[in-house]
Amino acid sequence: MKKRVSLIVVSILLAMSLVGCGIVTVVPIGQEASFTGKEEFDSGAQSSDDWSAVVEDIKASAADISEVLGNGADGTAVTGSAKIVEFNTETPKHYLLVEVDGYSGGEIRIQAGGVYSGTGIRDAQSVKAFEDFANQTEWSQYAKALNQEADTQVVAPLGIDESVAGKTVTFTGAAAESGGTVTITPVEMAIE
Amino acid sequence: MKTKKTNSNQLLMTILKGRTFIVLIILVVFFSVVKDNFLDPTTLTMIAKHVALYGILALGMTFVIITGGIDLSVGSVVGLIGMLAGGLIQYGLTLKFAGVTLYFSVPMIVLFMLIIGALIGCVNGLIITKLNVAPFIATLGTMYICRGFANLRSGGATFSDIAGYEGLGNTGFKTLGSNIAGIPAGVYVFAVLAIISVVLLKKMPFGWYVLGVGGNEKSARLSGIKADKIKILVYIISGFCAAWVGMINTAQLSAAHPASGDGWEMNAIAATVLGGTSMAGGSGTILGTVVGAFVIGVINDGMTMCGVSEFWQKVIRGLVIILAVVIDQTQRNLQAKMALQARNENK
Repeated sequence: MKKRVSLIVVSILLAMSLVGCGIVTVVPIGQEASFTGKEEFDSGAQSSDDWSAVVEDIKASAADISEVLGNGADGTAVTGSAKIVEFNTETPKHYLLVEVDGYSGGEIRIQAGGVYSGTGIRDAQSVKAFEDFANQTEWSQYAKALNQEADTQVVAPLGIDESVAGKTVTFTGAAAESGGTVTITPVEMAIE
Repeated sequence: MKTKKTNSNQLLMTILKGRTFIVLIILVVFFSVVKDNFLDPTTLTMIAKHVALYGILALGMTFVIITGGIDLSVGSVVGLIGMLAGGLIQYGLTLKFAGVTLYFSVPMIVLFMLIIGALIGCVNGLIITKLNVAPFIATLGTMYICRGFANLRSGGATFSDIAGYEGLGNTGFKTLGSNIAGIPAGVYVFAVLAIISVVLLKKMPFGWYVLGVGGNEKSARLSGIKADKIKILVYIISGFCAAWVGMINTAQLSAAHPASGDGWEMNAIAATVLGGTSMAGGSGTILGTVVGAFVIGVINDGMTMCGVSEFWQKVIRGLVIILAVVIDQTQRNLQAKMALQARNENK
């Protein structure tokens, strides 16, 4: 018993001397920022702060979809209108399959709910650059957060369902091209 | 006639004994002719950086191989130590029950990592000696375990923030990867560890025991050497060396990645074997290993500079290792022949 007590006392003394000598810094959980002066990166807050500027930026640089199609639409801001063929929810990535007048190439999809893929909006905007972030992880989180912003601000309010087939969609967004399929992530969209 | 033959045999022996050094000189001359900038200070610094990493691993490996063992886990220990050190700097040690996170100073982290490296080596040694598992299998197992834990530490992600914070008192880790007076810090560590290894192997009873256990374990045991203890100690040395490499590599990269050090055990084994350490155990020198590490470093970096593809580099490295072992065998045969000849002449 005596041995155990002395062991505890020695451990406490050792711990105190470690702290005293600066060998260890004890930080209450969640209060690192007050020691480092660095805020934990919050991709959601960052993207909602930037959202309106990003929308304006993409609108300003958007090219008409008919000019871009067939000329490499990857990573560009686009705007235009198209006829909705269907609202596809077969996979977790929901999208509107659309037809643009005069274009008979691959499929054109507008992301519309579920899981959003790609980094289109982030890559098409010029409000924030990679250098504004600490590392690749933050840069990637930012892209996801912008996609999430598109969902809550643009897609969700429209309450899209199967009935949109045959209607016309007017949109502005970021296009990405892969295997002939053009996928647009909208930053502004209206269905009539 | 007989004397002439003996003389030529002796000349051949001298060449064979100094073969690694001769190969190193030939390689340096070759690459400096092929690549103008091969002897530039920047290139030499880069090569020295890499040589230090393989070299430190090879120092530990030399002790292990001399006892007739092998340590395949060192590459994974490099990765694991990097992840543990990087994690401690970036996220500290969270004690949920106390509601606090402990951020240790860099000297403390270095100490912890060396202890962990030595402990992994100790586990290797215990498995080999107490559970009678072949060194190849035992260290193959710990190789996978360590690599697994390295990935588990971050879920496979990289720790990119290893600079530390003044406020947390954990800055300075990057010094291990920086240049001090124009020379990479790793080279200093390599030099110090090499000197200690030479003293251990040549001047201390421990070195004789290591050679004894490797040469003939049975007679070593009969003459009172605690062979198990020696074996455990050599694996501890190997783990300790791997821990240094894990930290230096992380500091050099400014990031910890769980795949770091993948396959490095092979470079360490190659450097050791090239340096003349016998895979059968019982003989080997630290100086040979140091030169072997330089050969491996020069071959790797030289070929990369010459634009040789990574695939061909592997082929060439493999051939070099086979050649080294064949020459080693030739030297041994020649040595035996010369000893026999000398005995006959004396008669």
